[in-house]
Amino acid sequence: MAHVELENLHKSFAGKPAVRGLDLGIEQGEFVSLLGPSGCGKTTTLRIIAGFETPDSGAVRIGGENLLDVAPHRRGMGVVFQNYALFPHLTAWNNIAFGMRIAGRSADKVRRRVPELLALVGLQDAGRKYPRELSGGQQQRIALARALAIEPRMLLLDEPLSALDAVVRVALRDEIRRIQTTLGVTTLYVTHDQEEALAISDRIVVMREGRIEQIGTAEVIYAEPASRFVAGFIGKMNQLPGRVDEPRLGRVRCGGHSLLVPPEALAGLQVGALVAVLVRPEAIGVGPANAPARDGGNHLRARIDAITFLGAARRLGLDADGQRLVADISTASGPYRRGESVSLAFPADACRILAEDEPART
Amino acid sequence: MTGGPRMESANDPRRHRLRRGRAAWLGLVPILLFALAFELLPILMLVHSSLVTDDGFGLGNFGRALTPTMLSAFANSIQLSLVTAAVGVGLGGIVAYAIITTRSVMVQHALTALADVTANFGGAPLAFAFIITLGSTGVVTLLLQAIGIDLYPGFRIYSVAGLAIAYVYFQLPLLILLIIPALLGLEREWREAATSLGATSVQYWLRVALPILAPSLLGSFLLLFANAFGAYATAWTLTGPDINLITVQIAALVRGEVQLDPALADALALLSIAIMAICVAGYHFLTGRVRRRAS
Repeated sequence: MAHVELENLHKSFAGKPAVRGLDLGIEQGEFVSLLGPSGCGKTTTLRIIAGFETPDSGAVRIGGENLLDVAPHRRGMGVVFQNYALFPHLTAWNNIAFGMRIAGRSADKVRRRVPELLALVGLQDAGRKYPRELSGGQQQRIALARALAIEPRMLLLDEPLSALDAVVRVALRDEIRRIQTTLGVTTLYVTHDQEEALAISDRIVVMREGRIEQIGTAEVIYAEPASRFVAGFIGKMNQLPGRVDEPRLGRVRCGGHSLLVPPEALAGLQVGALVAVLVRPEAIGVGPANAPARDGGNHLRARIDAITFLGAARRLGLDADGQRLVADISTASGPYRRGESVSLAFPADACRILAEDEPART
Repeated sequence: MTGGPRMESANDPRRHRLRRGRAAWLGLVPILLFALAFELLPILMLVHSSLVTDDGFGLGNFGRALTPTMLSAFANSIQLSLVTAAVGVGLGGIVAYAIITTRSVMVQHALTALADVTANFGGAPLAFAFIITLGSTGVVTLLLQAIGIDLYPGFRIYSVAGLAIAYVYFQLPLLILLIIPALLGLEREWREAATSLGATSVQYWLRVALPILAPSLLGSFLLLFANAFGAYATAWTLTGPDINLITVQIAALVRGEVQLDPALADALALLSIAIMAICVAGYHFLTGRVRRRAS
């Protein structure tokens, strides 16, 4: 039995469903991210656990206790908000001490614990400062310390990095993970940023329209997306529409190309069935147009129609006889120019198959 | 062309900024003229005439203002202003919170518009409105009488209590208009953060919301105090000379009902302006503090 259990949660707003039959288990000390686009129900799920929303039906349990019977202020949830939500009339110190004072902790304990938490978030000298005197990143660190001060049964973070700039976001993301690992607190993290979720989570829950699309580790979600939605939402994915040509040989016809895919991915599919072949951009090798094709795998000719510099890699926009693809190549390789013809190669094993309106197959 | 005088382009940004600056000042001229004609000049004239005595310039008029009757008028005005401002802040705060938490946007807009109208409904019309509703033969008085409740003689609309009720009629909606922006500034997440940290609703209000609202509430209280302190027409129409208020005394001295003494009236008016100016300055200081905190 998982430490935190969400069972068949339903929640609608003005008749519009926000969460539809959500089931999820979270282990003690686990870091789980709810990932999805705006309006997918991830924040509503978090707010139900915190007690800020009441579900229409379903159950929320922690350690076997039904949380829906517990008043929100007695649930012991540490919540971190997107806009920090620090109390503006209190110093950082008093913000952190707020929950402990409400709980009736002794002044002596508060005096010992607050500096520990300030040190934990790396802001030992910020205790006397008011929120307006702190940067966004510092405010969020204080908000994290405030949430941890009550020794929460669970830490809930609602898009805590969305309001921060890119550099601070990455630094604070790693900081949150370090602190979570140090304290071992069970954490639910809501984000729409797939890179953030991939970097920080033990498991990721991809949500869409109030339902869970896929649950898995970052590696599984990335390498084995369960649906076209997940494939499109997590990283960049080439999705080539085609029809099953020779299932036993693993051949799919995509436009003018006959692509090789793992034959087992086509099991049960009829010849002519509509499918999409999924290939990650980094799985596609790019070479000179006259490079000899090796045996096995897929070989396509294409023309470069866009080049985007991504730092460590370059992303090539390619046109392979009407099929649009992108390929990520090392910055060191090349040089390639727009309009240049190239050859593309990728192994059959790099391909996944999605039948229309069906989950992905390998 | 080198070495010659530098030609300034018509599109020179500095000249453009200068022109825009002058144009902006030009736009202020009407309001500055208005302020000069109807605020600064009258105050300067007031200062001048209050300092003119039979012996020349001096503070004699202010000395004459400190008679027991005048001190009592100041005390009554201050007392009435304090009470109606306090009632306005207390009740108005609750009503304003009820308005902003009403789910129907239409009701919110309707109640805010009503507050806007009633806040500006003062003077003689308000006094007459109270006379025909709560006067000895007023509609409400007679209706209550019909169901066995006799307001009179225990209550009189022509008394200090009646005057306080009439003042609250415009003080309360004024508070609503002043405090709604501050209430809307209370972030939902503050309440949720307090709740997640274990605070009950009462603890949230006492430890988070009210301390955050305190400068706005105190500032609004000062403005309500000044608003009541300067009110004259309602008091005069409702109670005449029966209630000794400073505005009533000033009017009596100007009209020469008991004695014609404009110089003394000017001295009293100047003292009243000083009291109200302190309140307005306090309001601006406190609302400025709220803005600085929010930034």
